Amino acid sequence: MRPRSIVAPLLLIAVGTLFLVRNLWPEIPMFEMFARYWPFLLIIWGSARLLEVLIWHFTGRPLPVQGVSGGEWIVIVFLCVFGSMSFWGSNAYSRWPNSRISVRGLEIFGERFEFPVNAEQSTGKASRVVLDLGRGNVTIVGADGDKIKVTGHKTIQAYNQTDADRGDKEAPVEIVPMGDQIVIRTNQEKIDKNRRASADLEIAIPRNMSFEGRGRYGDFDVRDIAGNVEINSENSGVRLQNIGGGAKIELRRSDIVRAVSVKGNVDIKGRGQDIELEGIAGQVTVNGSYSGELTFRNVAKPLRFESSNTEVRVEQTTGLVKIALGNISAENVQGPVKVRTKVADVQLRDFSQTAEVQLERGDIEIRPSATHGRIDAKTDNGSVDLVVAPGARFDLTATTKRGEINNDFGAPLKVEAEGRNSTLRGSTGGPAIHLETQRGEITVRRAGQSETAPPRGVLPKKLPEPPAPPVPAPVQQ
Amino acid sequence: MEPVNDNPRQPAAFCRACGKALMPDEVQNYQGTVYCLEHMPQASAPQQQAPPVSDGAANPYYQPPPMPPQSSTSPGWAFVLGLIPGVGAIYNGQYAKGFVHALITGVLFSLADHGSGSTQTLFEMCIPVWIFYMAFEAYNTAKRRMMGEHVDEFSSIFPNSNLNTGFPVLPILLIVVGVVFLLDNLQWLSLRALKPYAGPVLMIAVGVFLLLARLKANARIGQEAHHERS
Amino acid sequence: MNGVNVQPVSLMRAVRGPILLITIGTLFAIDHVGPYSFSTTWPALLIVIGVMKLMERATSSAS
Repeated sequence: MRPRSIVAPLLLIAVGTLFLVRNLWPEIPMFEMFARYWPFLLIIWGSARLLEVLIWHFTGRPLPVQGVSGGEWIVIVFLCVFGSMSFWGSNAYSRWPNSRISVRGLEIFGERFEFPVNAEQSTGKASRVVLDLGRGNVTIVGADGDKIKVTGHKTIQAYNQTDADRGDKEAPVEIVPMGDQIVIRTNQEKIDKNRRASADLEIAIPRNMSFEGRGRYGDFDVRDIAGNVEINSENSGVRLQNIGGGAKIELRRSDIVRAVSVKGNVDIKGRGQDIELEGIAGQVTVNGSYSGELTFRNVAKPLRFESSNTEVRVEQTTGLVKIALGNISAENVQGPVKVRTKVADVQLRDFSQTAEVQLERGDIEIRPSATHGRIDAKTDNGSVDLVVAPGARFDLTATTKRGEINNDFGAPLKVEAEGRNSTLRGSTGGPAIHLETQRGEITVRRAGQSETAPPRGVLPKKLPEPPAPPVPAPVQQ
Repeated sequence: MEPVNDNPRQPAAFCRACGKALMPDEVQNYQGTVYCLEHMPQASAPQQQAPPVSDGAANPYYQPPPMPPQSSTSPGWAFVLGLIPGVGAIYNGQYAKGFVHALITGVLFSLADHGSGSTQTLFEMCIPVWIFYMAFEAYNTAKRRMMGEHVDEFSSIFPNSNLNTGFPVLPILLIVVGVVFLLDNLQWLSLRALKPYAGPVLMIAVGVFLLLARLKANARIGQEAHHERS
Repeated sequence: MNGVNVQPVSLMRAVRGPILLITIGTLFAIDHVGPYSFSTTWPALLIVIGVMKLMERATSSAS
């Protein structure tokens, strides 16, 4: 009789524990953690099997023919497929900034040859500049006068000077007028793939023109332009500053999109990591999936964020709206405010008008300003905290299906318990506030009241003594 | 590889009908063909259980009974399914190999997609070759299984008999290819730049390999001659 | 090898799967949290398989 592996039961226990953790501490983003760390399951699995085989071997028991059986491989394949899918689906591309670093000093074969770029062209009647960049970083600056000036350098990777020279001839930087637009081309696609070309350019264009950039790989930096800006790239960081028109940005990957003082609408689509918008006079629409932190400051018109499972709408932002993985907060904003997502903690502070929050899992904290309207906050799993001004007017209904209700506000609020259900009701005559959780506690407080309950997860002052180091057992031979 | 007689529970034969491995005490003979107990045809035939080997030897024109159709494997299907990465091998019951096939295919595609320059074209050329290799391999394996042969989990078209004795070509090839591609991927060395050296180096490598093989064979002949003389 | 060691060959065989599994897991982990993507590190799999084959050979010829 061959010994049977204990790895399968162990895996079962591990999966069970994961689900238990998910239910006990819903604020831990289990799915994201799985998406990121699933390969460690493979490592643990393999190590357990290896250890087992070695133990069997050294205790002289017969070994299995295969260390990992066919059935196990099938499970592993599924794990790999499912894990990769969830990784790419949830928070992909966060490693992009790293992988851009190339090991330049260690390139033994192939050198980089640089060629200066200098071109100039008057714009005539054209009102729009189109840049077809390919690879490279570019800075666009609005300037006085009616000329387009391109300076910078072009890099061609080749093994010798003649190869590089040929590449330089094959891929000239051209400025071509085409009707009412002017096209700047780097012609990188004309060189064969063996000699990778890129261009780092600085382009001055007349201030009142619009700009459209298309790129594959590299950053766009656009400043002081009165027209519209449109950027379309496969992998870019984008920085906009002082734009008179609107901005439309579509990226397949990016590490950052930053826009400061834009007069028109800002429209961002695609995938990436961080977004930072500040001082936007028009509407802001962000659509896509972003793994980092999204911050919005001073947006005069409605802000809308939509991803596959999150929706945030704010009418006007004088303060700050922040959207990150597992946390959404808005401070000092005008409503109607709407937040809908699956897993996140949500904080809304100092907002006017109505608010609507809907979560599947996560805690909600709400501090309305005096001018608030109707509030609806609902979570399936998590606590709800409401902090109101002492003299605030509202009509509260708070229900938890399973959990406690802490009424630190006092009269006229009253708790009605009914089995596991508890409801807190009361009115001081004002707009309706409706709080609901399926599972979790509800707390209602007056602002300024000392926050009595200590935050969760605080460590006790005195740590328990660490266990004594094990005494090494006498070696048996 | 495991020497055949290392394991005392090594199967003695395989059932013609279901392919099950049979221990020496489970082997059932019927008209010179091995079956397991389950698939043993009813001995209602007029001739009584003749000793199988002598029967076959005595009557060279005697046709063995037609092989019972294999319920699970058909080479045609294996070929068709083999065009889908990994599925052909899984169809043949070689799960780990299926996984490896799928993995290799994925790697090839991603290389053809991400690679730059000549590596890209190289991998693009590799993809169809690889897919047809998988199909043919699945076909071959299915055929061998249908013939009742036992196939190893990592069997291949190339026979791997007497792998033990020779120079370890495959492992060393794997390691060299792995190291070269890893260095290329990490941009510590460029395959494009190595291309002009690839042909001569390959020729030298093959030459050295052949030289070693000949020297070994010559040495063996010399030894045998020496033995005969003494 | 000591006296307990009866079947070095099948030990190498039995260890083959787990080691491959650990390697795959490590490469994916590097892909997700480390600086190198799987499309860069895959040749490491070939190297590991090659080394294991060599070791199998060495142990089988030693016994």
